[in-house]
Amino acid sequence: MTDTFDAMGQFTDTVAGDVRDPYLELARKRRESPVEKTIQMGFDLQDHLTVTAYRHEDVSTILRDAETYSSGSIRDLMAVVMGPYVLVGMDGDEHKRHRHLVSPAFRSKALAHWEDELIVKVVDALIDTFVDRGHAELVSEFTFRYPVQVIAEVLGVPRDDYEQFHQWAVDIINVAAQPDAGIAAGAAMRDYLVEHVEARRAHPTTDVISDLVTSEIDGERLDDEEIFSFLRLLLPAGAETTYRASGNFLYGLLTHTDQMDRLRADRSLMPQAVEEAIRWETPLLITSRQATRDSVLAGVEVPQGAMVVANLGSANHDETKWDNAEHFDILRAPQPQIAFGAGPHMCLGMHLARLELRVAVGRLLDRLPNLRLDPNGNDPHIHGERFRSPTSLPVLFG
Amino acid sequence: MGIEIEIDREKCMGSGNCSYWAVNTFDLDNEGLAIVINPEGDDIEKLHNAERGCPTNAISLVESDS
Repeated sequence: MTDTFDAMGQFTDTVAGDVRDPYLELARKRRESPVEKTIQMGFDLQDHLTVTAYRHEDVSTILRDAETYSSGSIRDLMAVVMGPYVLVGMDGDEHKRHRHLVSPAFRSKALAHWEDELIVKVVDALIDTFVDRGHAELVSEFTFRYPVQVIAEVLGVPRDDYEQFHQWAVDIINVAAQPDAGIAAGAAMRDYLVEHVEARRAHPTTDVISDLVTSEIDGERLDDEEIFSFLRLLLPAGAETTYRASGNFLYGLLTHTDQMDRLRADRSLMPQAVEEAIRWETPLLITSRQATRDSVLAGVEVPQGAMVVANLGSANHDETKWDNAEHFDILRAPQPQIAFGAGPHMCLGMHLARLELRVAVGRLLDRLPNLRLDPNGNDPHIHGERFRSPTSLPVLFG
Repeated sequence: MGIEIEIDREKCMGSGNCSYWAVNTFDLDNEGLAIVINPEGDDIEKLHNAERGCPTNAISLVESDS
């Protein structure tokens, strides 16, 4: 675990960016240059005209208008690690047909049985390891460990191998910064998956791999490369963002103890607390598209071919949508935030993520009385520019 | 004055966000697309959240006189 977590630390600094508070600068962007043109190096290492949107309205427009703002450039990047059939890099009907194969498994009702069968068990087993100790470091001992075990079992691979999955997830997501490690991780994960896909072809069960081996598109079964693409996307996606969101949620509560007390006493607040946590500290801040035709965003011309960047973190702090947007407030009137994106690529795993956050934080509140930050902790804080999560969460309880 | 809820099933992608925001009003049918199960199941705030939270703008709330 130590090695894996050290690798994550390295990942945080190289890709996530070591920025403690980006929000003052993002507020200035929303005020002064809400749709900004710059020249930036793209995934292909060439310079591209890049148009970045910071306000909620424009971010929402970009993500919802998938005909004008294509996801194809993500495919170009991720194909080297995930293979050519990457769901997040597809457009139009192709995307719709592929997403439809996996979306039933991620609907609320289909996920409900995982709460007691899986999530509570994984979370409780982790809490068991520190509950009698009176102190813990909740990032390395809890938030880092549980989501990857959950997504592994939902997909249909052994959750005991979760440390290996986490290492692959880190290397795969980090491919733009360290291509060799990312490509090697993609290949290693593919090799690992071969026997599991073969096993499900022979004996399908109820997991996502079984859905994939038995499903058809236009009357044809998916081939192995298509299935490997799906799994090499879904496993890192399910592990990484929920890990970060869990840390951010806990950090919000631990630094606003009056709100933690309210939530502890009234669990009906949990769904809106989850939404507020991922609004306030959005785990994945940036997503990219490419313009398929000329368009105009907030009066700024966006030429065909331009890279278009939607800053989700900035959109979730838009002062025209939320009063005191910089403040964490689980009691604010609930309204949709945009951490899960919008449009046809809106996060496939959002209902699973909501369920995991609710259960994980709920069980901590159930089992750790008087939960509080350790005053002698090592300056825990949320950091990152592309991904955000806490450096550590040293806590005392009991 | 009432509210009529319209769902464009061509646009609907079956995200299930409408039933997240207004669980007594919306559900997904056997095809995985949104349907209204009770037009008076939730208050107007929740209906607006379902409308705004729909990722593909498939839900419209239309004020009616009836």
